Amino acid sequence: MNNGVKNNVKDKISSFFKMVFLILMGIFALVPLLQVLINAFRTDRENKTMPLGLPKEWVFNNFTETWEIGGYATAYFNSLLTAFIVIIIVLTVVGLGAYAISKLEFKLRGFFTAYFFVAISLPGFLYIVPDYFVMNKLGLVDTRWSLIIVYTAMQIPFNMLLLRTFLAGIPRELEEAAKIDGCNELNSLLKITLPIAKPMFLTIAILVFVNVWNEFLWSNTFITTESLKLVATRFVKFTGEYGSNMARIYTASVITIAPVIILYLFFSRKFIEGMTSGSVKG
Amino acid sequence: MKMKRILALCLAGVMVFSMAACGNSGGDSSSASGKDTSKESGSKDREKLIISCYLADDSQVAVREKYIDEPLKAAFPDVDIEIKMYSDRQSLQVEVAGGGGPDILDLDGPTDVAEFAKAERVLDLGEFAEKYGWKDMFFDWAYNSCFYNDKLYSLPTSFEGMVLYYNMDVMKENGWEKPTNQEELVELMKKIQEKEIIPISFGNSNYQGAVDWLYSTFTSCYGGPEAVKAAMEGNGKFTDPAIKDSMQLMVDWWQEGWLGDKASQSITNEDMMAFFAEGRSAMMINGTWASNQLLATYPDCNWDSEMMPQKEDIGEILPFATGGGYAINANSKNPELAAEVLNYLFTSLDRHYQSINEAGYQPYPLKAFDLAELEGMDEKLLDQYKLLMSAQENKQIGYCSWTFYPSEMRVYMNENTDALFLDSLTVDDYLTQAQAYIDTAIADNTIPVLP
Amino acid sequence: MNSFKKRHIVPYLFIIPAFIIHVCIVTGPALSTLVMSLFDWNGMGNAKFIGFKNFTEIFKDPLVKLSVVHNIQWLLIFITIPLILGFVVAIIVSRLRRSQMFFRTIYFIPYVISAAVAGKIWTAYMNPYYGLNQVFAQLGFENLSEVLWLGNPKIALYAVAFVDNWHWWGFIMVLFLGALQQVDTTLYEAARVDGATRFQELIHVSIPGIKQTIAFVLIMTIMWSFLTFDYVYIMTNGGPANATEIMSTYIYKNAFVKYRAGYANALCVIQSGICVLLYFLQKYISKKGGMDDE
Repeated sequence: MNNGVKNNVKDKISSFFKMVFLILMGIFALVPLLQVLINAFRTDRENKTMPLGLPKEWVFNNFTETWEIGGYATAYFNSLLTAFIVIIIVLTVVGLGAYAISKLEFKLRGFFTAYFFVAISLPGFLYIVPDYFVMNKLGLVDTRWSLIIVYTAMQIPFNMLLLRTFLAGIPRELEEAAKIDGCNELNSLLKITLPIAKPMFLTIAILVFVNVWNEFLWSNTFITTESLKLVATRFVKFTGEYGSNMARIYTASVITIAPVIILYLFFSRKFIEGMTSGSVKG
Repeated sequence: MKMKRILALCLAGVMVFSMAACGNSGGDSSSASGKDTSKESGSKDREKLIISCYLADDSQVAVREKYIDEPLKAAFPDVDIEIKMYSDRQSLQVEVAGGGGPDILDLDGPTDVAEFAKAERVLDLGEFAEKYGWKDMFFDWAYNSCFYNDKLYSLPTSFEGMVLYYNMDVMKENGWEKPTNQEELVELMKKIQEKEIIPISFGNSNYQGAVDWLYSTFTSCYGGPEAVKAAMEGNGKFTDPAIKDSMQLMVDWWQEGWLGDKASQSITNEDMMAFFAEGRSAMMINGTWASNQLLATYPDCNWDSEMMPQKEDIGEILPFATGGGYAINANSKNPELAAEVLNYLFTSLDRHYQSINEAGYQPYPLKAFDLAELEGMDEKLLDQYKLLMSAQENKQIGYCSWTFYPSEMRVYMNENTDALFLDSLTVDDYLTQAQAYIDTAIADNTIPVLP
Repeated sequence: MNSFKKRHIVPYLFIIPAFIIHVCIVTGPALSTLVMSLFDWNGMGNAKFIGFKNFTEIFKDPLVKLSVVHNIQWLLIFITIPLILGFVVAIIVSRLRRSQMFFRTIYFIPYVISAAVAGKIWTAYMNPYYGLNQVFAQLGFENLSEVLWLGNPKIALYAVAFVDNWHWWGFIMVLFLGALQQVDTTLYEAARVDGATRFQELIHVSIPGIKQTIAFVLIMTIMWSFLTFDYVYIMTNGGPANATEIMSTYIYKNAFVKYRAGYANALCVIQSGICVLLYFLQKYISKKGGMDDE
């Protein structure tokens, strides 16, 4: 009995320290981001002279000005549309592919797995010039399609492998059972694996979204028309080589980051629900 | 599915093939773009012309629209002229290499243009120069600096120099006088340091290449323009004691903490400016272009600028540079139009004076440039322009690396000057390597022309 | 017979779309550029065939050696700190109920921020005049307050790695957490019936349960350590005096600053070669150690 109380106290102490540790890590993760947010409310000069700390005077018009100058409304639309299409394509081809290399037996399975691992080691600048060259010839440069095609291809290897790792954790028996019931592979993927793996697909979707949203080099190179530009390239409007307006840069950062975080917060709720309600454990 | 596969394989084949073609000869792809031209001119679309420009923030963009975009639109009503900003060299280079890119390229100046010329990606402007008489329009030193391999590849966009800025509030508060020679400057820096103020503000953490402001200034002002010129023309060496001493002087000053408080690698360019304007440092070695930034961001800062305090036997020297160069893309579908636009920019002087006067633009290096047109503008800026013009007249010209050094030599020096400061490279090794690049450039006949 | 044949084709039908898209857009063009590693090419136009000269130069180039050493240091940092941190936190968080989502979200947020913004803020924090050093000075840590985090060649690489870790470990944590939640709960119950302590549970149930994820994270870390670019590029750009030069920043410099794209491509061949080698090495070791991820 006495022992039990002791254990209880010990547990409480250890969980207290764990909580303190978790909160400290949380502060570590968040403080720099809060600083970005705070700096969006300071004047340019204050940001340049003292980029850290609280504002001496709060400025609120940074946001409206930046929003208008940046033309963020259309940029948001373009980024969302591009990300949406890329996510759909990536989830489809990666879902099929990852299912094949994690669940199905075939001769070249090892080759394809190794291929996608090796593919990760190819840096973007190796293929940016030939891609631009060919797309220029095909008239795809300065269209939404150029970026959609390129982003899709770039997102495939890592997400394929990540999903493969996820799917491998799902017991094969479930799908086998489905097949005995007369389902073909596609059906068993759609009816059995997909519902279980929903949170994983969501994770992939979020990762793809983040990457598309933040990507800068390709979108800046391939898109010249103002009305087609993505959010990340809008950022350039504020970062001059000389004499840039730091307040605007921070404000633009907040505008750029906010949707990603909001979307993530929104989805992470679903994501957890999926995790706990999924029948993986069965 | 099969169809898709075949299609995709074809696409891959096309890509590999076209890349090989593109790699093997530039001539191939330029002939291909030549074909496009004939196709384009057949259609009745409005002509389109794209001009590249450096990254600017929104206020600079607004100014540019007023002084460049709109006048251009008015002068060429039948053409869609677009000015596209490039944040880094990568996008521009990819586009040009990939057979596209803007028609007019705003490049970093002659050393940069040389690389594009080497790849035959920019046009020889000789023909247009004759047509429009450009040779007589520009100052000879600026015009001649645009030649590479005896051909004209660009036109100088602006005219700038390196000066020493003083924060006059700090100077007055402490009763310090502007030094008139190198010895006085050294004495002053010692006094400044005692007050726990940074003598000369410097930071290059976000752009390492900013060291070229320093070494260009030290070699020209304290090594002497003759020594630099002799080295570039093959009549001397860059390892000459005069140049060596000036570089050593720069390193010593850095290590004393006089140049950037021994922390220049942790300070950004913006910090450098802020420290100067806020009085955390008393002086700053910077280009004439910085004056505009000072006025815009720190309007209440009381500053002044002079040539570097002279060294006895050399006298006051102002290191000159052209700020950039306009070149015409070899992929351009309409080079004649591009040349016409360039000519317009350099001949519409009223527009130009206005842009200097109201927006603090750096002047074009034109012979017709008349200081009298600028009366009434900001005094400090006008003083700087006067300084530039008088230095030119009195032949007190020094040489900035981005206009007068071979490209590879400049890249090497930009990357390795920090190693000198941090004592991981000796001045001797550094200069020997620099000389090697000069030797190559002389052998290839690609050495820039020095006034 | 027919259905047997069909079963063999199905996996290929599933994998081929992704494979073809990727080969057309990435691998094919990349290979065509890799050919340029045999040329003296400035990245834009005419190229001169020079055989293996670029490669012989690589083996003599002291900066290449230095970069590889930095990459290895980077690898050693990233294969330990974020993995251990991510794992420990994932274990703690996985046992929480109500606050689990809160922590998981917060730790993941730095991962979604673009490197350009995060790098800028952290550079400001590491500024000797107004950054954390001022805080240290006020707290009385004189020595700490005088450190030039990004300016001292001996420290700069670790300072950048610290920031990259800040952004990275939460992602690893979320991957581990996701995997932990998939471990069959009946296994834990069985362990508890057998009287296992929390620690024994960890060793005998949790770790074996997520070993595929561990293997995956390990191999990704190893490969990415040789490919990492953005934080170094944004915060120090390889400086001061090459103290943070890594393969990818050096490649970037050659391609876009020095106009030596041919040489940069040759460096890419070496970089990819190292990655491929490490991949197979890791696979071999994993197989031996029973941590195979297949």
